[in-house]
Amino acid sequence: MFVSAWAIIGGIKLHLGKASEPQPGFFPFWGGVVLAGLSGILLFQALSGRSKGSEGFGALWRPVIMIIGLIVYVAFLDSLGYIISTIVLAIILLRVLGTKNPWVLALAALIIAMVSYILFDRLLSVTLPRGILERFL
Amino acid sequence: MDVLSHLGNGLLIALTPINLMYTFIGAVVGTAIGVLPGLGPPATVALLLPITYKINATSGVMMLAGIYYGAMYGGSTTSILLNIPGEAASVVTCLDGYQMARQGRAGPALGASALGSFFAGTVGLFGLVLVAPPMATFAIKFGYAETASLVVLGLMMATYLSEGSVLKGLLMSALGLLLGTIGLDPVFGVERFTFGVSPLTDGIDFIVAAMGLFGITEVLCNLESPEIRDVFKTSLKNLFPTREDWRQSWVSMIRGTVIGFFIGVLPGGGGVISAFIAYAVEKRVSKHPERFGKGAIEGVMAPESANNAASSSSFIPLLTLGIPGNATTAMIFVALMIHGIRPGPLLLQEHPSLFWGVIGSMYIGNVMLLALNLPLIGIWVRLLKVPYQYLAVTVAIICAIGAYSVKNSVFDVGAMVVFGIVGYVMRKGGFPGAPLLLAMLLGRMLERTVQQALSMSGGDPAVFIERPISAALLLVAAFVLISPAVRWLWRRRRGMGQI
Repeated sequence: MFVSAWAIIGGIKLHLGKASEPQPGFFPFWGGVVLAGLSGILLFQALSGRSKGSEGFGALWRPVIMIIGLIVYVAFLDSLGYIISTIVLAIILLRVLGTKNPWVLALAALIIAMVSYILFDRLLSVTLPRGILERFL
Repeated sequence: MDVLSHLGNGLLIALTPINLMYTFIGAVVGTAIGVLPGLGPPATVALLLPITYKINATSGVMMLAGIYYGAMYGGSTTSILLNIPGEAASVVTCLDGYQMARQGRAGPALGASALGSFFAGTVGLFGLVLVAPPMATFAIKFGYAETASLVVLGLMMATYLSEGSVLKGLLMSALGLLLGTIGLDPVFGVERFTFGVSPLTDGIDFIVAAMGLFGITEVLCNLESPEIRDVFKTSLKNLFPTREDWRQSWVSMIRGTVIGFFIGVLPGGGGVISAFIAYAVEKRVSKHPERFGKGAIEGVMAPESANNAASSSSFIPLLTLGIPGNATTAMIFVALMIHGIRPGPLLLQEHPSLFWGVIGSMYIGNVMLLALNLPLIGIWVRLLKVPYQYLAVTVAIICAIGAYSVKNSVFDVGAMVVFGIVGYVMRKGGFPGAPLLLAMLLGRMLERTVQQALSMSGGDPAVFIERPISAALLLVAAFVLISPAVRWLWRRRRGMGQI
């Protein structure tokens, strides 16, 4: 409902035009109207207990840790660089997700970061952020 | 004869060492992700898209196609041995495949699945070769109005055939259309919904959304439940079905192939629906439907044949009409666009070596997969012993690289994470991700073609119903749209009549 209101208001601001001469706001406006209608029907179904197909959440802590890890990763990717951020992310995630042996943890994180770096940056020319290792890479 | 000579050329192109290598990589990766539960073909194709930037388009598409049909082969392994589908198209294979394994017949179940897949994949390709050229010739006549109507039909079909509620599918399509409007307007060049954020000026990249919705969402969902991967201990000898097995299931293989082929051509109708319909049809026509769910070999043969035939035929709308019918072919569409190649009716004329080369590689890929899946089944089973946390972290990191590689921008990595979280919540609410993604891609095409059609007709909206092909396409789209409501009313009336 929020998204449809945003699209309808945004569409009007952008100028709608008419069916024979649609302007930039025409498409988002009508998309918003359709979305609002469908959301309304679904809301009614949900309130009357007729909505089907939802499934419950399982143990949420693992996905939540993955999400937090990825958000922090995005925040530090440019400044720390790909290799260091990836090693830190992999160590934290693997530790939380069940790897206990510190040697296995360190080795797995190093392998994941280095193999992906060599494959994508060196072999496939995807320029990954260098960060604080810029002088050495 | 013309088709045969083109096909011969295609096979020669596919047999060059570099193309053989990429087809092989696609087949191996496809089988691996098919075997590993929780990583489907759309996510994997999205993950490997960055690799295709640096190689030529033909080799890239050969690899991506190999992943798609390879996953259909590999998906049955976990269904049969673990009762866990390796990917969605193999869900129905669990019903009889796992029961066969419990009865000590895992070998014939895996063999039937691989041989059925090979037969269907090969026959599906013959169908593709026969149907694609005339369809492309027909589609050349399409103007902007017809293309716009075709996009509408594609969206309706993709929504109607998506998993779960049609209403939720429609909602996702509408949301996808709106997300597709973010960025510069395709005709007037006006910024829309960018909020002054400069990376949004180019719009939300399709690859970034796909990585989030399929890659990250898949990982998040799989992390919820603790791992239960207890491979059923059974003999994997005698992989070839017995004479009695063949007697019972050869017709199912043919029926599954035909069903899969026709459903695969429809937008939205990929391997999942074809496998379910093939299974339902087998059960209905069987003289002993009570055997189904208790280890009937027809219950393995039909859906596995259907999902492979569908994976071949789903290339028909992509290559001839330029309309991807499902998330995986949408990813291949994007890979072609990155190389400056526009899939559609002119592809066959402008890039015949790509078109026939990819088809040739699919024949070769099918033979490779038969060799990979039957004698090497033990190796694939061992892959299931890799702890999921390593796979989860690797997938998340490759998704991040994939999103970053689009524009070398950390903003895109953040957008991918947001799509991953949204996709996770959507999945829990029963909202399918594929219609959203397809609508994002097709919505931009729809807006542009509608504007162009109106501009050509001097602003007369009747152009969409005055042109016969366009009108017919819109009529079918309208029928698809209202059919769930009609069915609901009919059922209600019948129910009331019975009271």
